[in-house]
Amino acid sequence: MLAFQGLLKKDFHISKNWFFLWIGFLALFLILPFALEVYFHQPLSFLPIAVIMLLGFHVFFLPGMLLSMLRLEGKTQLWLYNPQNSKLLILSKIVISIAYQLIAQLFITCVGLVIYLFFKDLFILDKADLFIELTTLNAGLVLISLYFSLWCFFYWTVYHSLGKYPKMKNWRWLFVFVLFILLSLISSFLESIDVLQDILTKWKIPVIMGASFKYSHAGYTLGLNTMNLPVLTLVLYVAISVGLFVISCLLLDRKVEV
Amino acid sequence: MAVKLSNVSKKYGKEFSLKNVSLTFETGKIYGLLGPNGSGKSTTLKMIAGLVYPNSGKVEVGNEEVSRKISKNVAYLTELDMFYPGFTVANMVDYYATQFTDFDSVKAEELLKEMKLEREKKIKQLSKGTRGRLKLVLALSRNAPVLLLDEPFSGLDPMVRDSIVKSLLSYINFDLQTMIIATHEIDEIEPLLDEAIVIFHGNIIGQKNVEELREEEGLSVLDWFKDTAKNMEAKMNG
Amino acid sequence: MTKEFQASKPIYIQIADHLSSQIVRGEIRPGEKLPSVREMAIVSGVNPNTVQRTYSEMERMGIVETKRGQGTFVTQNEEIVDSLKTQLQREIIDRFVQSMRGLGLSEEDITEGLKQYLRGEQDGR
Repeated sequence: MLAFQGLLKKDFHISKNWFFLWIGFLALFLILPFALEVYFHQPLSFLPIAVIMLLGFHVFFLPGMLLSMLRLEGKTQLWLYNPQNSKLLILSKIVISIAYQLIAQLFITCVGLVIYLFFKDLFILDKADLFIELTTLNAGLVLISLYFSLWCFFYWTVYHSLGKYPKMKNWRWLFVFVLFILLSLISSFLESIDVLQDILTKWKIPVIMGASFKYSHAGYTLGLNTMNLPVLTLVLYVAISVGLFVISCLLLDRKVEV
Repeated sequence: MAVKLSNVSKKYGKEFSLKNVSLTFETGKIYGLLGPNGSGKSTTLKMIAGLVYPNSGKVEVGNEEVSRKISKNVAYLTELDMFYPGFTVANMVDYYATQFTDFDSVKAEELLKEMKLEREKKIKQLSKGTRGRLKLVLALSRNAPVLLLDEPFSGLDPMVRDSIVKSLLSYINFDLQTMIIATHEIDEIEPLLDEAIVIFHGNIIGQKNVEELREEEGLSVLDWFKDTAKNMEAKMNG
Repeated sequence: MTKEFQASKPIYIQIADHLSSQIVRGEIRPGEKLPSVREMAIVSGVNPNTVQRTYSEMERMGIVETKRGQGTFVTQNEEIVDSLKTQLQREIIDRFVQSMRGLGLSEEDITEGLKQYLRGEQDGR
């Protein structure tokens, strides 16, 4: 446990400045539209859109943060000089990144709530339970970004596993790119098989997938869209995530060299 | 703890970094792994530290085949720039203390004082020599059965080298530890060594007990190294 | 300070020589305790195994003795110290005479040269 705390502390140290930068970036893109609204005396013309867009951007935050940390470690790969399990090494980075992302999303969500409270009468919300919806929305964003992150981690380990072949060294990115295309082709081929699709989409549960913001004569409509998410597809994504994580850790243990 | 390499080869593409190397390192001895830059010294140490894997052959530390996990028993001073930007000396020491169970914090404090390192200094602001001393603090603070030092003197001025030799002698436990020093600066470490091993283009071309070398052949390690290297080059060219 | 060692002579012998001359000069008194192996190793910047060998060698020659659990001590036996002095003296003279002969000088030349040198040293400095 002490070791994991140490890892968390280290990963926080190496990445905290990027996080603060990101928060600064978010603040800037909240203040800017707000200033425009004040200037043009047009309340709610820019800010709500900015809030939703910034929140949506967080799908890329976790992969971005993870890759930045890995890029730093990859300079020497000496982070691998460590008796801890490689799963622990990477988990610490993921935990820190998720914590950042949650804080950032919470920040944006709070801004959104403040706007909502100020202009309550202008909004028509179709759903009564705002809290649950916002929670699922944020959790969904984190999960999607986590899924992307695991793919990034996978490609990153593949890339660095190829580092020990001098001939490949300059062409590693091409190899990774081809692998990416190949895997995409396979997945779209599998998607095109109807039988498979039928099975995967058989059982469904309702989940909130993103928010929409509409303007009509009556005012603004903030809609949190629910979607019926197929259970088996979900299971498949979880399985893919676990698989990617395990394979990447194996590569990290056996193939990535200092 | 003994370290054993059996018929180890390591290739990078078609280039051999190590060619069928077999070596045994015994507990309680100090070994010098000597050779010019690019001769395979660093690869050998990285292999013992579990950071590089052989293409063929076997590397064992205390009868355990080496994997990345072996770092629990192997303290390794790298020639690379290992520090994170933004870290202070204290951050780095504390990080090591959490990762390695054999890290001795009391010893670390003593060593920091001895090496004149300030805990609160940002590593970024330290000179190359000072960073080198910090690396040494991190490696020597561990009570690991195997101690690997890759170019421990690089970037250090001669006065500091002297005190570092002393620290090495003060802080290693000769009953339990095996120490391997890879360097091309032979003069500094000669009196420290039990055995000298010369490596050239990935081949071990000689291994001698330092005192026997002087007694039987009247040669210092440096003389012997020069002779061996010269013969080797002559052989390769002719 | 770490000493510089000659290339062609085993280090353990060089340390033994150094200690012997200190004993002969009386810098280390008979019965005095020598530094522990580790201390000695640190002071002279050499491998402790080497110092261990130095001490064993000196013990074999009877110059020092190891008392279990207490350390290594210079012998109390004045005879041994005296004979060590004679031995060292002989060695130095031996080397000196060898080199002089190497220059092709006769016995008289050597003694005359030596006398002159010693006289000059007294007057000059």
